[in-house]
Amino acid sequence: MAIESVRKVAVSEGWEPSSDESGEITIHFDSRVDFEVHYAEYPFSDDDITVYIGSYRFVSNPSFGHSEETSGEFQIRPESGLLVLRTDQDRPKPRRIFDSLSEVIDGDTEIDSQFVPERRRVWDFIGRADNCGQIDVIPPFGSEQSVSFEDEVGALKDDPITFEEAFNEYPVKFAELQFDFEGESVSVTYQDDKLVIKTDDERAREYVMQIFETAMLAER
Amino acid sequence: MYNESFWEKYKITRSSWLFFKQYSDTTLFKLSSPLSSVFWISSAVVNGLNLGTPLIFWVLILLAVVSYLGPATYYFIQYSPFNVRVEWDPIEDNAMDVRAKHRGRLFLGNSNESRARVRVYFDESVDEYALKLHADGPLSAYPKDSPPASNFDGDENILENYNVDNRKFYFILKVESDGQDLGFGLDPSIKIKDHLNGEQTLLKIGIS
Repeated sequence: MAIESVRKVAVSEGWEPSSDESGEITIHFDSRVDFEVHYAEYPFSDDDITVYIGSYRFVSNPSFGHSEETSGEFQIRPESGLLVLRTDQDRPKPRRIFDSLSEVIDGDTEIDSQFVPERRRVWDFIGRADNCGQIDVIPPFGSEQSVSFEDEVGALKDDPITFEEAFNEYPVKFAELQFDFEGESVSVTYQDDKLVIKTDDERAREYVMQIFETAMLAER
Repeated sequence: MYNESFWEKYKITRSSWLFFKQYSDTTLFKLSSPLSSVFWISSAVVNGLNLGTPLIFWVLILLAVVSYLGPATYYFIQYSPFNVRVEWDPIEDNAMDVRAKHRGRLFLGNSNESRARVRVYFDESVDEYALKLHADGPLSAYPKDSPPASNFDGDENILENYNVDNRKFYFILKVESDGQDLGFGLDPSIKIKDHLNGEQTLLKIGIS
């Protein structure tokens, strides 16, 4: 199942994608696609959404140890300022690929080295789901806890935390969510800077991505 | 969410405790204390053996006092008002992590990454903050998310809030190494510094 890792990216006006290679990475911009807006509250465009889709091949060049190689796809979504990296595996670490992308994509774009959302935005994304499964949070003291929207108390009974108590206040380590799109339920897991969207339907995937952009990046 | 401890109730005890805690970690303190002791001992020797005039004795006493209190006064003036306490613990509670914490260290392990939970307690008078996350050598440190209403400036590695509502908050600090040797004997660490108050180190976490 593909893992989508995200970063904020600032794209200047007039930026034109170009294929290039640098150090450990080679990129090709394959297409420019105009996606339909599926999510009614999507704030970045009333019309179509312009997305640049590219592919990359990454071959690490460590000073010692063996080399790692991977390839995948990425999307630059200039209207919201989101860069999405799609990989099939977690090695090499997406962070290294983002660092390389940052070097190779021309100077009119700036890619954040980390994705650090404000806590309430993470909960906003969770709140936009049609259904919540397990949500793991880290309280200010003690070990990780699970909370569930259905439960009055947390699943781990040692130090139960209610969903209401955790909402907006506790950092989310992991969340299992479901989004309904055109009668189908799409399962999504969110952890740190990663989404796993369990569907083969690209339109459903795009729908979830638009909700993610709305929650995480819309101006407030 | 947080229990109020004794020291939090009285501003003067809180500020004094923070001053002594932070000052005692500085190189200034580590140098001034032995230097002052040298002057004290010298004055006692001069006096006991009648080696010099009373003036020399009193000059040595004065030097001992000044070398002890001078740097402390300088530090106090430079970094006042001592209005924030920062503490941490490891998220993982296995034996290695707990042992490392007792030594004030965060254990990275083979995965070259680890997480710490950092709790920050500002005084009620504080209405803005900027905490700079500093990482040595091959390390990097950043929050997993930014506490409500705050912002993380990734270019400067600063967690900031210029309109503070909530003065007690916590966040998860992720520490990563790029895989290079941490450096034997170099004692790499993560520091959280008060960017709005002379980059004073509020918390230091050694990395193993």
